[in-house]
Amino acid sequence: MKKQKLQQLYKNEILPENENPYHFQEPLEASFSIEAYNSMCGDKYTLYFDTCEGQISSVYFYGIGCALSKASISIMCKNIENLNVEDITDLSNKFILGINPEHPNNDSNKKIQMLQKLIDLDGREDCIKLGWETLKNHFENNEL
Amino acid sequence: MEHHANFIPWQMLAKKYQIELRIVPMNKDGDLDLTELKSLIDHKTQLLAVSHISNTIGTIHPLDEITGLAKNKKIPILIDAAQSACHFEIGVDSLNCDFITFSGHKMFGPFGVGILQVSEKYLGDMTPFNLGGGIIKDVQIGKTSFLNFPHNLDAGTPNVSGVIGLSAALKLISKIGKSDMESHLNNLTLFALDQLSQVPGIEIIGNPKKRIGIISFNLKNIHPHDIASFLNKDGIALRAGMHCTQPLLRSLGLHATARISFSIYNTEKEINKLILSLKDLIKFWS
Repeated sequence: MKKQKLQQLYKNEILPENENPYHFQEPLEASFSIEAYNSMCGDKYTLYFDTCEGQISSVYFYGIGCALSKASISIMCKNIENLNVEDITDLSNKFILGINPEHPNNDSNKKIQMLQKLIDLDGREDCIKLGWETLKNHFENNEL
Repeated sequence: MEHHANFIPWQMLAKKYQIELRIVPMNKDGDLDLTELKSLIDHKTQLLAVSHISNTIGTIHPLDEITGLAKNKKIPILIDAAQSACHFEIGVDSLNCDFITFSGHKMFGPFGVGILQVSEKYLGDMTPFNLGGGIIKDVQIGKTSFLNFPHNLDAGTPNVSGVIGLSAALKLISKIGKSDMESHLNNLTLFALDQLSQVPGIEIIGNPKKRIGIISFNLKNIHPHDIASFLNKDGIALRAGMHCTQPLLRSLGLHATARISFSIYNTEKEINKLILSLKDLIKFWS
């Protein structure tokens, strides 16, 4: 990826999401929370979930990390509200699989497509996947 | 202050044998607190392990003073010279210590190979840490005896290519001359510190009494990984993250830093390019 393309992506997609992330705060109460932590780089967020009738009714997140991991988790949070465990596991699995250029994903969500294309951004795959991997690992092994 | 490589092994040993592991604190400038070190050393102390140069801040530790303190109490000393072996004259005699370790990849050598030097006093205490072929003197059904150090520490198929590669790297370093290398790195470090201080919103991590070759910094509102990605596009390679020193970063209240480090092939012109790139990034981010 050329520098100009990187700047465009950051300017149009990453920085707006990074500067105004969705539900970026510690809620007073939550049904449960999980930690998204990349021990290689130090990025660490807590994801807070509220549940209602077998679905995630709202997600908040808070923590410290790079613009890319924060933007990716922000987009993720917007896309998992009002989904059940099966749908969330399916979405996170497809997202992670779609990061691999050998398994292109035709997700209709433009923001998710944009994140997956960032795989061209050398060495930042873990930043993009951090929240999604955390989600996948949790919901594959836990029920609501 | 230490790299995990000179911390976790002691932590694990302490846990296994119920030994007390005492950590020497550092001050906000990135210098070890030697007054505290004095109070931590006593008749129970079995080993003092310290790096020569911090891999995150670049602090050159005052080894004369540190080894003096330990030697006075007859405590063996291990020096992790991974950051200094390339451009400092090192050795158990010249550094007045008992053990020196360093790795090949920090001195133009291959990965997966390194050197442990042991003072004569402790040669007899060096027993195999893993077992296999190549370290054996005699094997009988009831007992085994081993070769002497260093041959008793290299069990299994040896890393032949790695050792040959490291040997070639050492010859290259010898040809260039460590004194010239140290002088070059020192000049670059001073120049970089001066230039970096003019970058708006920069925080240079630590201000140790003596430093060389390594500078960690943060930029206001821009995460080190984003800095690394943008600088990479300008052909500048730096490392972002915790640099295998999580306790150090935590003690400074940091989660990550961007780190530049120099070698003999770097130039002042490249540092100027780095400064322009950082200023360009700050402008873009704002």
